[in-house]
Amino acid sequence: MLSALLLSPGLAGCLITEDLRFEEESDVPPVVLDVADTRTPIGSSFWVDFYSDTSTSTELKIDVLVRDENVEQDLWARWRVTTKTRMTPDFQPLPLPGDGVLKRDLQITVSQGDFREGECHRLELVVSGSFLDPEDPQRGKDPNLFDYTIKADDLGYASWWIWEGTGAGTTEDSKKAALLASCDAIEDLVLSGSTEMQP
Amino acid sequence: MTRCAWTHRWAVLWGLLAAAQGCAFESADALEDSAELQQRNACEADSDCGEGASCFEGLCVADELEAPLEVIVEVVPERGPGGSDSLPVVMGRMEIHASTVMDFELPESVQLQGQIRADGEPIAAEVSFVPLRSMPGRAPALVSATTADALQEGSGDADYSVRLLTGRDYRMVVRPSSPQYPPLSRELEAGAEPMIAIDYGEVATRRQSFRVEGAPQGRTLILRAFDPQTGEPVSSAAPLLDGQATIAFSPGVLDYELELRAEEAYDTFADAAVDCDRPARTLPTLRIPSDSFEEPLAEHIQLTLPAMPTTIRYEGSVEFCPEALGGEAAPPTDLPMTLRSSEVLLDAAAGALTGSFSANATASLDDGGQQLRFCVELIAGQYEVIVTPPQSSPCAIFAEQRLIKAPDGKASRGALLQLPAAAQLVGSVHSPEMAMVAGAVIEANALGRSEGPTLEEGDATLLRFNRSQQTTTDEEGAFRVPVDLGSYDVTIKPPEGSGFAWRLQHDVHIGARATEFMTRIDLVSPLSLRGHVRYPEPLLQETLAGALLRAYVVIQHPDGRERAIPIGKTTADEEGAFLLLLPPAVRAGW
Repeated sequence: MLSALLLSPGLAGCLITEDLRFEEESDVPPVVLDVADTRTPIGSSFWVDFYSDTSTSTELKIDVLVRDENVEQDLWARWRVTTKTRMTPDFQPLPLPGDGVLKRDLQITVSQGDFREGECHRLELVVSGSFLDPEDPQRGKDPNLFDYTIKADDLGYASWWIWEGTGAGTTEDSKKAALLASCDAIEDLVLSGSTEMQP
Repeated sequence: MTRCAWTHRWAVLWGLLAAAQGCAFESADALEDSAELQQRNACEADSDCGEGASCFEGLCVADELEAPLEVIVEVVPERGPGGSDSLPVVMGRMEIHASTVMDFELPESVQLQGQIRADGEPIAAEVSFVPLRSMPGRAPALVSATTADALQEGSGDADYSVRLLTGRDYRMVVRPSSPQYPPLSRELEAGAEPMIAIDYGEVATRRQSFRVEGAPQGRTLILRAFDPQTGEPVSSAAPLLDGQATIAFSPGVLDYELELRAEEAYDTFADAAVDCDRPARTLPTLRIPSDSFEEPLAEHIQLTLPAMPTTIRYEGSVEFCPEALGGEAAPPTDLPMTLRSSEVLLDAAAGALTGSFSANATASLDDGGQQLRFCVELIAGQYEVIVTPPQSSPCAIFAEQRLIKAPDGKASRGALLQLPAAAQLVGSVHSPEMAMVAGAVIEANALGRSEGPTLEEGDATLLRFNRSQQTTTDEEGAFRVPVDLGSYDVTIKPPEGSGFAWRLQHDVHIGARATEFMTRIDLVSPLSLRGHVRYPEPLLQETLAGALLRAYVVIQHPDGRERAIPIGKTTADEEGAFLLLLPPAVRAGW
């Protein structure tokens, strides 16, 4: 069709021969950042208390920012909570549409059901624009493909250690020991860097 | 996937050729641009905006509101002075009637140091400062510190150090680790005292000793007293030795609830295979109100425990909702379960004593891969049983009250827990030009309330365990959110840079499952709140570049309770200037 147009008599006047080259936007991996007033900094360890007799909360909410230079690129976030008895649980996918801003808001809401009483938990968050087909209901939900991407290195990552209990001041020593043991059990199976833990 | 605005040089050539021909046609990109424009709030003159709105700096903004909004703004600087941690500042409440200009002057922060000691020596403690001015119905942003550094490295004069907002009132709470010292609290104005020193040797704490008859042999029980209203600890904790323990009470405590909690029951380091999930404890936590003692403040108090119940096995299966089995995705192979009881079955001799118990379990696919089965050891009683499917599942959470007891004293078998179908919030988001708005975020924030929706007959769901959900609108501006039964605040966030404000539909009650709750969200001209954030001290102004501003609307409930709900956010520029776009109205219900 284009050839026909070029050859049409009405277009004979001008023809551009210059080879125009347009710079392709490079794909910069997303980065997960803390919000300014976070109470749960990325990489930190903290307590939640869902099982005491007076506890009324049923969810944990964590806010983060996802910085991506490719501001129009649609991203997906995935998060999961691992424990010593659930090392590859189902993950929760969340869309992060590219709407032109450099830092996108992301809120993770973890239900009490994901926390086991008196145990250590690792909350993991990954963000990418090239997960193995996030819209495919099978492959996009396979717990074993949690952090698999089509493009190497196109992955933002953050994690937190979360202890279930009443807190450092009121959790008895035997429970703290059990907590640390369950943290060790998880850490033996994760690849990322270790964190000093003292409940 | 990388987006490139012009990925194909032929597109340019095509355009030039068309121009040379004098043809007027719209390329696919031009059509896309036009659709995108219709999804944005933009104007050149008042006539571009609908009734009740005018054009201001390229945006249609609402003029006068039909009903004023009560708004609280929170400002979060990117960082504190000298690189210290950022402190969020809750500004005063204001009533907004129209788009307006308003500046916020932030208080500076002050460093507060202090000592937590006993007879002059630092002790291990956690110190927290809770701001007294906070958002109604939202957890305050507390500031915490510990005395750990002082204990390890030697403290000099200060055992802890924090930054607080100058002139703001705080409640300071000290929680020592040692069982000898009770928690303490006091109120203070930041900056009024440069150093706050507490010495337990000089604090008038009351000590009471408790003799406990009938405590189980070979187990350690820990005693501690709690405030019956707030649930906060009001005493130190001490183990029961030879049936006796002495605890120290915080000053002024008259009314309390005594708790006896067993330490972990067995070696949790052992990973021996078990055929039934075991809780970390095998004894219930016991509570007794102080008014059941003849003299609650007596120096010595005696109480007798009933015979402790032993654990039983609770066995059964979990069934998915039919929607999960018919879908493309395979149902999960295991599901977490939580069982919580505030009323275990105690001996008739228990009197005013009540017992609580909780356990976790995992329902896993059986060997045949047909059914999810569970087994958990617990103490017989009235339980909240919760089974949590993945959030993306078409099944809702299972949360019901169950009386679990063993007829043979050993096991309760054959329980069937059926995951119900989720309800669906369904709708579409439209711009004033009737364009479908793609990429809008829809957040259903669970309110975790026991009351609210009217359930269908026979539905025994416990509403307070409902879970938050979120999604985004598709290319057609449509959305579908699966939700548990319960109450929600639903926030619709149009794409950033669209020029529209969030929409809020609060107190959305979902009482019927397997039902689609339909709505249509029409975005309207927002209310604009413009101004600057400033510090009195000009040198600090640079810390406000990029400051985050969050706006909350205050909703008054019929019973007088208030609740602040987020309705917008923005960031300040390098001069501290901001533009907050807010919805001109909020709506109750779906």
